Amino acid sequence: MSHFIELRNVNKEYRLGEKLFMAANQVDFTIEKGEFVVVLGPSGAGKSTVLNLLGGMDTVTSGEIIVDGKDITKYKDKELTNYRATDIGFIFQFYNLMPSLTVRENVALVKEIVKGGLDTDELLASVGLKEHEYQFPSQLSGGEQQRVSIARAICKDPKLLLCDEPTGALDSDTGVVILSILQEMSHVGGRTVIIVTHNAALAEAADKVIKMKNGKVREVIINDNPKPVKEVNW
Amino acid sequence: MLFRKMLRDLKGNLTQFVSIFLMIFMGIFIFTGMNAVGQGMDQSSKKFYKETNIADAYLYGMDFTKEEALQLEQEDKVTKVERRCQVNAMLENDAQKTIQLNIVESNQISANHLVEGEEFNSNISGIWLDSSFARANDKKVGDSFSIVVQGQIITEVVKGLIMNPEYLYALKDENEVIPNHDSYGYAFLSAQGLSQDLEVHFNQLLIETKANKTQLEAITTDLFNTKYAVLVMQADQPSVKMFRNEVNQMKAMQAIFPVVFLMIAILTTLTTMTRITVKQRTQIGSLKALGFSNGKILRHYMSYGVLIGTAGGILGLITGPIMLSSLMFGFQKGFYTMPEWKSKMEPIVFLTVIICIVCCGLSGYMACHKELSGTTAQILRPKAPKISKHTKLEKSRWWNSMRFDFQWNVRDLLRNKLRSTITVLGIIGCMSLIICAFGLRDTIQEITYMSYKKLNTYDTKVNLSESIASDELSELRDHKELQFIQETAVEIEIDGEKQTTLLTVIGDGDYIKQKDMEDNYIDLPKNGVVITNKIAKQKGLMIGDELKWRIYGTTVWITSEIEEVIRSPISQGIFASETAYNKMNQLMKPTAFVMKDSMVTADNNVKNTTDTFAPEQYGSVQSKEDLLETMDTMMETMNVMIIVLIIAAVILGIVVLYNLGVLSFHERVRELTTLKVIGFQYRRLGKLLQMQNIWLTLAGTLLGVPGGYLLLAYMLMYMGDSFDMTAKVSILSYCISVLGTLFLSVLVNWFLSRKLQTIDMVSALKSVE
Repeated sequence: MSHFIELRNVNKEYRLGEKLFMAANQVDFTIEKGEFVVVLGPSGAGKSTVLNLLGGMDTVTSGEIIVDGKDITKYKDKELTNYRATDIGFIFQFYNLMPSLTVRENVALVKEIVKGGLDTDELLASVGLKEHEYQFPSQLSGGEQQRVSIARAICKDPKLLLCDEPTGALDSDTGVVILSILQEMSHVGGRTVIIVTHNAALAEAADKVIKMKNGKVREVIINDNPKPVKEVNW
Repeated sequence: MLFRKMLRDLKGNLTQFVSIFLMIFMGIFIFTGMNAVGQGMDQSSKKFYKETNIADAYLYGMDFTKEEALQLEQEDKVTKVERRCQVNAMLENDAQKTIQLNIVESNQISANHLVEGEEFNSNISGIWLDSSFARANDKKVGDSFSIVVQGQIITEVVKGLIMNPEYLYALKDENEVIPNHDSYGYAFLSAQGLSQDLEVHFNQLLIETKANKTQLEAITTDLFNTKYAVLVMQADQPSVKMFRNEVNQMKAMQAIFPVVFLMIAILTTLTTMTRITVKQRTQIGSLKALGFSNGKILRHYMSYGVLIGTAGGILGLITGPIMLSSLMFGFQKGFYTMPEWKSKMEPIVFLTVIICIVCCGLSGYMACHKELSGTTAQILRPKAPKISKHTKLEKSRWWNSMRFDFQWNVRDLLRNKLRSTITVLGIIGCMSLIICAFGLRDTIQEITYMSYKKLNTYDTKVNLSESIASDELSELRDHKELQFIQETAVEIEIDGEKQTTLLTVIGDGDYIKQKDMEDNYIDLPKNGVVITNKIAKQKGLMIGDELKWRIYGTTVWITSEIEEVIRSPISQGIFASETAYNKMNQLMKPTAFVMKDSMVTADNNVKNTTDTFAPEQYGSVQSKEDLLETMDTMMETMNVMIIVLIIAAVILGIVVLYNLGVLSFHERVRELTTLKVIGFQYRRLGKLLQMQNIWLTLAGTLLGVPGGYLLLAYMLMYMGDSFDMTAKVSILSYCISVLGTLFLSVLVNWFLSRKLQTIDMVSALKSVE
């Protein structure tokens, strides 16, 4: 049976001076369509590396990454860019919005590279930013900025939503709001969402938890009854 | 330790600092170089004048007696007077070559500087020859030298080769633009030592005096009322005047170029330092937390600019005078003859370097000062982002219909006004220099064309000897295909101030034409005179004004109405038709005639031009070919100037575009990375990055068009009194300048967008800087 996402023996080596550093060591896991996945682990565990590889921002040293039936490790630079443009939505810890574009423009930006996509107005409304649409990122709070970033990621209707510590720069209340939105994207919207975090509490809310340490997958837990984010005890 | 940090930071921002260094170096190089040349020429000529005791004033007349000279010398304000006879002669074996002969009794005033051979001695016979002429004609000390003076052949032995201060800029006449040492020179003979009998009329008195023109004029009018005498002060002596013009031209140019470079250098320092301090905000906070005082931190950030400024400044200061002056002096030696060429620097040069260094330091101060405000804890936290504002532009519907590239770039431009302004200024500078360079060429070509093709359509000009017999002259005048002219020095008086200029009376004929200010051909009026535009402007004269003038050496003042103002590119003065001249009760005494070479074959009485009109009764023959050739020589020296200008322009353009492009790239690298992650293709990002530079280049190019024209016009203002040039830039030159500048921009942009490949998506997005 084929999985939506499958990582097979993925290795990623970094050379730090003389030393070779295995950021990802024989990583193997699968993710199904529509799953809300949390990758857990302390810092330096290789979570972000895996996310970057999956998002086509970095290339593997060896191994295969199959996304929707295609091995993205075989992609060339231009194909990788296309892959990022159409299949992947990114959400970063520090939002990475364009400071010189308004909220609306930041979201609409994506439409210039992807055909179709979702309606900007509806999206902005869905993340509760309709009244802020003509403001610049610098005029918004961190939580609001992250919501813009989510709207931007969703706008192109990606196959996969990748979030790297999306609440890392936020206070916990705001974090909960953001995470609920993301969970909703998966459980209601049917999207595949992968969140990288070091916050173990989130594990209760996930369909699947992948625990990593020292570049290796330690444990994969399947949660048959994930709690809504709001009910998780932080 | 902080010094090490600075060195590493310099290394980390190498492009910026190298370009700042280059700009400062170029600015100081040109400034000190030009200053050293200008000042050096000024000082060297003054030294030459002093050494040779150049006359303070000249009195021109017909024949001054010894008594008259003594009489003048008796006057309180006059220290010394010498008589001199100045006549034109030609080489015996080559009538084309003219020698201005000076026969003197002693040589205390306007003495000769000896280059080779024996010092001038009034008691011995022999000839002292212009060293430049001797070199061009391969004459040596001890050679025998034969010339024809007033129909008489004089042969003397060359005793010495000399340089005379009055011939520093030795032009034969108004038709010549640059000296031709091959065909024109001067020589000195002693009146007592003349080995042959020659009728000597002392037509000049050289005066050594402390008196000014008015005082001296009072004295001479008193003494020589009956003699037709004209007083010329040293400052109005043609060679002295021309050279002073040249020095002024140098001084005018020395200021304008460096200003562009230094301004850009300082502004670039400011932007670079701002970027560094913003980037190192946390470091500044850490230093403060460690206990470094504000002053120490400020000094640290000032040291970057000071170091670069000092390095660039000192290198420019050393190399400028050495390299530029040897280059410039090389050309000028062709024009001007002086025993010594020494570059010299004015104190202002050092002051400029110091100001430049201070400004660079201040840029660091200003950049760092901004970051230092607030408590240490505040500084340690990242700075609140800039508040963005909506501009009016964005309210329009049109704005929303634009693509994001456009919106992004417009906002970025407006948010970085300083950076944008510097870029535009740099391009304006680059463009202006290129236009100016090509414009110089166009202008010279235009005046050559206008002077020798449109206004003076003759092929040959034959100067008549003063001693030509009247029957011979009237016989010549019967030839209707010859056009006769009279060129006479005149004095004009405006508001009690006298000035010498040239009167040209033009006889019937078609070879010499005039054009009015609207570029239409006009006929010389049958009444009154016309004056050239430059004189009209200088003296505030207009059509319809009365002009008071008299022929040099006469006492009768004539008042004529100015009928027209004409444009004459290479010589200035007054023009009158023969008819009008006659109506002023003056009889035309032709000094030259002009003709077409084709006349020679058509009319057997006038045979071969040059040969026919060579010897005694005619002064000299001048073909237009020769004149055009001298213009070509001028053009060649101009070409070097043009190349220097263009190199400067290209360096300026590349440095400014690249440097600020890199700056803008670094400032936006995070956004660019995000876009790359989101899935923008490389080409698209490249376009995005280049858009701004292209806009700024276009703006700079457009503004540079009038800028270049004005720069050219400014430079032409200092080209000398006899020139009246209108800045002229051909369409082709404009096109080349625009295309060249755009090409530079495209090239630099190409290099810049290659930087996009270096973006590392993973690390760039990890954390906030």
